[in-house]
Amino acid sequence: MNAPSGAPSATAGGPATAAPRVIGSDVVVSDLSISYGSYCAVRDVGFEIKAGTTMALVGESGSGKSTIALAASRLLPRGTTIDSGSICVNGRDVVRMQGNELREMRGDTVAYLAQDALAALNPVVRIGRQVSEIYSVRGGDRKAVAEAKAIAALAQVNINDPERVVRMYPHQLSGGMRQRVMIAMALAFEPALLIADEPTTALDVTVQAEILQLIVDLQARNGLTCLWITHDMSVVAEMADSVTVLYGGRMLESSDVYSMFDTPRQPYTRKLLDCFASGRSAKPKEAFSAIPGSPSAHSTTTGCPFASRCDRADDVCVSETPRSVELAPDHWVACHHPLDIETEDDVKTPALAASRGGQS
Amino acid sequence: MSTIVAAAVRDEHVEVPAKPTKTVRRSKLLYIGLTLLGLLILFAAVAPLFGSPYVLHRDGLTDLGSPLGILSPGHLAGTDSLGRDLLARSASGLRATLVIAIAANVTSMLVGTVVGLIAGSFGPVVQQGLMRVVDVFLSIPIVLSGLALASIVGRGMWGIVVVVTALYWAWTARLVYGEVLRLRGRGFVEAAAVHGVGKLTILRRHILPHISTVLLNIAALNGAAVVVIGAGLSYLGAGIQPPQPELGNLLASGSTAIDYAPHLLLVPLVLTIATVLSFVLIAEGINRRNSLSERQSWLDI
Amino acid sequence: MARYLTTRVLYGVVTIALVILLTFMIQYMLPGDPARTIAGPRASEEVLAAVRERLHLNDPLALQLWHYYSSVFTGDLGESYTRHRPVLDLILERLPATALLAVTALAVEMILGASLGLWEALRPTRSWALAATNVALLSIPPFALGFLLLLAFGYLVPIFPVDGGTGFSHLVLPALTLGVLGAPYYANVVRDGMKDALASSFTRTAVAKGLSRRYVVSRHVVRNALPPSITMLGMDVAIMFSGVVFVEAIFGWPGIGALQTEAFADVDRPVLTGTVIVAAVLVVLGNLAADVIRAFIDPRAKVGAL
Repeated sequence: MNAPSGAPSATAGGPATAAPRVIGSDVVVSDLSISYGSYCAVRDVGFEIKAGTTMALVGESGSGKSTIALAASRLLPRGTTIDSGSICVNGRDVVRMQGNELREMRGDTVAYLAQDALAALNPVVRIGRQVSEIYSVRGGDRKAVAEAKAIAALAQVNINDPERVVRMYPHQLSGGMRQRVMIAMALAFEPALLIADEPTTALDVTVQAEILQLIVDLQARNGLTCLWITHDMSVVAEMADSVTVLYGGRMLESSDVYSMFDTPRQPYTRKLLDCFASGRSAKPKEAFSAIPGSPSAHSTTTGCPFASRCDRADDVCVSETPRSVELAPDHWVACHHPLDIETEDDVKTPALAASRGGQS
Repeated sequence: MSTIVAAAVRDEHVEVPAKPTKTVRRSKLLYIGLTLLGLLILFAAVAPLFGSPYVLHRDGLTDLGSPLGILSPGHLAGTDSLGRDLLARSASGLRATLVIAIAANVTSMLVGTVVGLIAGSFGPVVQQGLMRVVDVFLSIPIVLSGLALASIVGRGMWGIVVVVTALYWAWTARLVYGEVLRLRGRGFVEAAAVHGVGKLTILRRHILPHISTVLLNIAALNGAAVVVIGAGLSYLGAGIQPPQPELGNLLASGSTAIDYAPHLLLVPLVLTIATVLSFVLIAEGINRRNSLSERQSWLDI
Repeated sequence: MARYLTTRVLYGVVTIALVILLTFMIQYMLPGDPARTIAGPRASEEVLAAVRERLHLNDPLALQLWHYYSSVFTGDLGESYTRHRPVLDLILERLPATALLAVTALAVEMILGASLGLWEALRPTRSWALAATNVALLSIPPFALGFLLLLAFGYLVPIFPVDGGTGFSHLVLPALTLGVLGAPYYANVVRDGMKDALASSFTRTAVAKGLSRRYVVSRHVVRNALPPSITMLGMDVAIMFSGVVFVEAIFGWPGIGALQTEAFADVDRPVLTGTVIVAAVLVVLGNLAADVIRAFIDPRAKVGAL
């Protein structure tokens, strides 16, 4: 799955002259800052996703993870400004695109998978049309060809009896099936990057497991690069190759998943993992509420955003923003007092290896 | 913006917010409407200052009874063909129209709100039964049946109020009913019911406070409609009879003199339009002030 | 779907039955002599006796009700006291003219209203000119607008005839009056439906697929905005019936509205009540038709999800 990155692009224009696209490409986010009016939701966030891997973006509400997801998909509402930074997919900065180039990149370079599949599907249009229009309107296929492709796409996401499903309306399908339809639509043009914005939160546990497995299979098959937004550490344990932890709009820690679970260096990450491990049967949201305090109402302009809730914090943490430092290969931490792997107790997440068993 | 923060504090999935709208600018409409209505009420209230609407000032009228035009001596708006001062008549007419409108509005809303509350608070049998009755009154065209009803109930001021109330309460009932259902679906009502709180208490404590904004909106829109209907029925002769002035019958008599004395039509016309306009502005103002953040179109991102 | 439709038809039937009951109650059960109520204040004693006889007023109330219902259902709405003809005949005679006027007015209303509503919904910024037009149109009473148009285009600029009649040139002004009056209401419904759909999640999905703006609006948004405007058209039937009373009087268009005004002047009670019954029946049918059309457009209704 380690397809080499495509030739450096930089040619804008129609698909005919675009860079030869590789399914699954490197994604580089650098110095990203986004604000809604005067409220800064994302500050100086940067991370990299290697082609063909899944990066989990973890955080509580207000951490900025959804904002980053929407920014990468260019679905931020009006009034949101991207103050600085870039999101480069396959060498092209998605954030700066406009007009036709922007429209072409949708679904083709970046695809967005929403959380609520029922709301995201048009209730008065048949499923088949909602999938086939991608092929016919954007791809220029004739109606019959587009319909056949739609049926094939639905089969690919493990929908039984796709010929029947294409004639149905969204409200006639179950939650899991609707999400599969959304996945089929997202992957129709084989995007370089799939952004999954908590797509399984609204589903019940068994269905959630099926959908996760589906994505993993598709990724293995197609070499898809995936950015998975979640607040559920169990999903991270299942899916992610690498993890970035956000808090208050800033990146606190970013590394591959094993390092993160075995040797977290940021106190916040450590607390997350502790809660997750101890409350294994509890709902994911409670992991956050077990940490004393709550995110402050305004994202701090200086200082570590977690300082007010951190028991290791001191004056430096409040006055000076910690910079992101590579403490180990590909393991970035933003903390004035990172946890020392020598002296800290083992993080109690014995289940990680077991749940991942066989997947790499 | 505060919605993100609030949601974050509650630890919910944050819905990316719409651009915050400028609420200050919107309520300008509300104040304009209220001011206009206030001015009109004032004008109607001081009607006696303009003299009696019944006295015939015949000086200056020709033998044919041609009316005096605007700004003739002593008559700011002129007189009608019988010599009655138009300003006095218009002000009295406005007063009659306003009284009818407010009375009809209040009574129809009272009846409608009670019915709507009852329909929304009880089981399906009561619900369906009452809603069928509401449907009946919604299916009867108002002016058409207003004429029929007026011929039975009688003309005059209270006749009109009765007619308008009897036919119009259904609109309020349906809107209130819809609102009650919506509030019931919010969960806190069901929760209270499960805990054994009595229906009346639920109504008082949970539902009434929330429907007040809807009621205000209805009151304003109803006000506009009732003025039109009341004046309309008077225009057709089903309401207040001449010589007692009312904007509707002033319009009727004014329209006959349109070629030689347009002011007879135009003065009451302007007053009628102004009255309706004030209610419409109030309704628009209330509406806009209540839509806190306008959801924006996804086409414009 | 079948279940949904039968429910609506059933409700319609119940409503009509109740309307008839209501007219019965008002005519026969108010204090005072029902014969007087029905025959009018000018009827003589003999006429009153004849009325009592014919309308079974000496029978018990339940029997009277039965007679009333059976006569209505057989099409006997009484006889006009001034014209001495069956009420139903009079109404059916005038109905086509009103129907023509109403349909034309509806067309004007829909075209004007939909254009305004769509335009306002699709603009990225608010237009106070549009809002002002909206408010202005909502504030003019129907009789006022009718008169102004008659004045402007009948007298001042004599394009249209000022006498009564049913020719095409006679249709223009009244239809325009009714259409322009109804337009802001229709525009509001269209605009609100569109804005709602434009702000919905599925529109975001459509945009995220990279579909063009025109395609998204025409193939996704409009379809969702449609159902409320269909409901509005159903309600328009009732509103039209009221509007035509003024408009037909002002422009001399010989329809149901004019009939009612004349009957009012003559205190011709059978005609007055008969018109109300017929109008109510048509309103119920109109709403039913709107429900059916909406069910066809909105698949959620078919499966009984509504």
